[in-house]
Amino acid sequence: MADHTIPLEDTVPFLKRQLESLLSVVVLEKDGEAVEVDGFRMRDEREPARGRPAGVREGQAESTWQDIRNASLYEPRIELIKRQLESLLGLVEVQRNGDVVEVDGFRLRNLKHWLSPSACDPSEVFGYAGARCNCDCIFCCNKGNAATLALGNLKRPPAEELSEMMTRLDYFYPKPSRCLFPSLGDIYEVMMHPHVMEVLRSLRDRTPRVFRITTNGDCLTPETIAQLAQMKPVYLYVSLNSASAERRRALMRSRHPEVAIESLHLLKDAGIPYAAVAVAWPFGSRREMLEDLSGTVAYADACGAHLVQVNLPGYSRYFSEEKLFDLDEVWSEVVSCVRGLRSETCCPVVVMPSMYEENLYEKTKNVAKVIGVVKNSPAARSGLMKGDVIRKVGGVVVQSKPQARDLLSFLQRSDIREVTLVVGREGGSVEVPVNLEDFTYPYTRETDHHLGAVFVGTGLRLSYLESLRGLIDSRNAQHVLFLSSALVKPTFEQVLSESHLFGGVDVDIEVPRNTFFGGNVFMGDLLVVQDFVDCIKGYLERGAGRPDLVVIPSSPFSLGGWRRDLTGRVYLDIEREVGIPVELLECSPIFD
Amino acid sequence: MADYVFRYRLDTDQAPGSNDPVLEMIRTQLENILDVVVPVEGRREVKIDGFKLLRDRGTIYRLFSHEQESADVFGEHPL
Repeated sequence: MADHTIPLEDTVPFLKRQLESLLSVVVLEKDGEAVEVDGFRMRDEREPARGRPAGVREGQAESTWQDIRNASLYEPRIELIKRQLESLLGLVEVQRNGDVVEVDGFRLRNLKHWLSPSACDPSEVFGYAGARCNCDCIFCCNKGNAATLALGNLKRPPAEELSEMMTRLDYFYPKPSRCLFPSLGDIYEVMMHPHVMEVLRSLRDRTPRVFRITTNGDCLTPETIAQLAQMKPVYLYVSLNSASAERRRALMRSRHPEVAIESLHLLKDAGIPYAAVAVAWPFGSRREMLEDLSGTVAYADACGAHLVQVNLPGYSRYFSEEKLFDLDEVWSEVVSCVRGLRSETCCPVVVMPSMYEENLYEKTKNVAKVIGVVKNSPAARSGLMKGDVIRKVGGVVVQSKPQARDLLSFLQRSDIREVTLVVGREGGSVEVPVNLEDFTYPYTRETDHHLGAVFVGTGLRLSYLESLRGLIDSRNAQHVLFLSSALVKPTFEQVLSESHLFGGVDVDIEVPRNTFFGGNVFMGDLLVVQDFVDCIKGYLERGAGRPDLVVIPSSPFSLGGWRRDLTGRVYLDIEREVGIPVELLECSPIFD
Repeated sequence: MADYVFRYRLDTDQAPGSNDPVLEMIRTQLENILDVVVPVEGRREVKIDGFKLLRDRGTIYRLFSHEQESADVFGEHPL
């Protein structure tokens, strides 16, 4: 018999309180049925804890269990309950009327207990329709996800997905901004779900907000578009990828490539604004790819696209262990091509991630430079032009791109009818009076953001520097290690050098490698806890001195709000592993 | 229509990790809780990395222990 630090009998009141507390929020289950319990007894130590007898009932769909890893990302209190229950059930057996009952799971007792603060975007309900896909894109990023990612999908019938969506709708409260905790996995094609229209119609009764739907376009038949037109405001991101049916079929294994291609005309006719999206995947020769991209952009422009979004290609090590292409070569060629296309197109053409273009071409970063203007928008009709740098908005001096975006966004949502912009153009300054009521399709007040002006990305808010200084002061730190990303670092270095806030403090900037995803992934928001740990350890090994504070942007830990990375691991583990205080600098994802 | 049921599997088939399961349970539960909350004293956030039992204040049990840790004057009992 083991010599216990705490005699088992002393723990009974403690265990009782814990079980009662846990059972106030969950109901135990066995074989899919609720099991009410009214007592417990200590397990006989000589017998090992009885294992989960079956876990899954004969014939019961595995998928009816939620993925606990997903919960660890979005609602880790559920993971906590699971672990606490497992810990307790290692010591006790639960009983009903004096008989031991076996359990193999639990369910949430009352969903009202599980409402979370939320922006209540409609996609928080209809996103669950995107559980499967009718295309098979050769570059699909979902193929490059690690098994340990917290974003796996449940395999279950559409009727069950509908049940979840309708339940989520029941707990969707845009006014107090609360809804059920999310559990979204990878999102595939929303529009192919057999119940999506039913969900969208119900949603429209609950919120006037824009439905922003990403679709591969294969379902955008005239009938579907007519139904969507009844539910405006709707904005579509149509993954066109190519305006050539042959190439679209090859890239996306689309069965009806002409449907998506034709849909652009129909969307315009129906008054539904859309972005045409193309992944610049180096399929075939590089020249072939760029020529097709040019043709696709021209086609979307002629069809009245609100904008064209060109996604720079990337892949993780789970997608391919082999190097598929040289990232900088391909990305810089695509960016160069797009910059040329901008002079030939009416609609704005953006490249994602946009900071790559800014880093390549702009000596001074974070400037409110206009790279495109939405056709028929107030900005376009007032004469704002590509290349203009916004210096004043309504008399307010603009110091950075995020500030310009905020001011324009505020104006768009306000009742103000006119505003004067001062812009830098061809070495001089020009006043541009803007009539905010002068617009038509594809611009709409509901779906646009900045009166129709389009910039290279969101930029870096200067207020982040003040927050950083606050963190440093709160820790009395003298030597700070700031972990940035390859994309943001040039802008961060610039604003840091322009700031007078950091006298007397050494701020070293390091860029962690995306070892978790690997491949050619280098986005800061895709870094995970282990990447940060490895980076800090590497810094220490190089003998750069031991920092007294590590600061990490919060955006890699922003999904769900519980400070978890994409594997569900909490950022606090970084400090636990390296033994140096770690603070998160609150910031929005800069990817735009 | 009844609410959709959010169900999670329990895995009670875990290998025994300690010959002192009650102490292990406390340690595990504290670690689990510290992944979800930040303890505070007044308004000040407090980082903790161990605990003592009220009936034995001379022994510290470490949480999230790692190799570099050394025993303090009271003696430690990593689990």
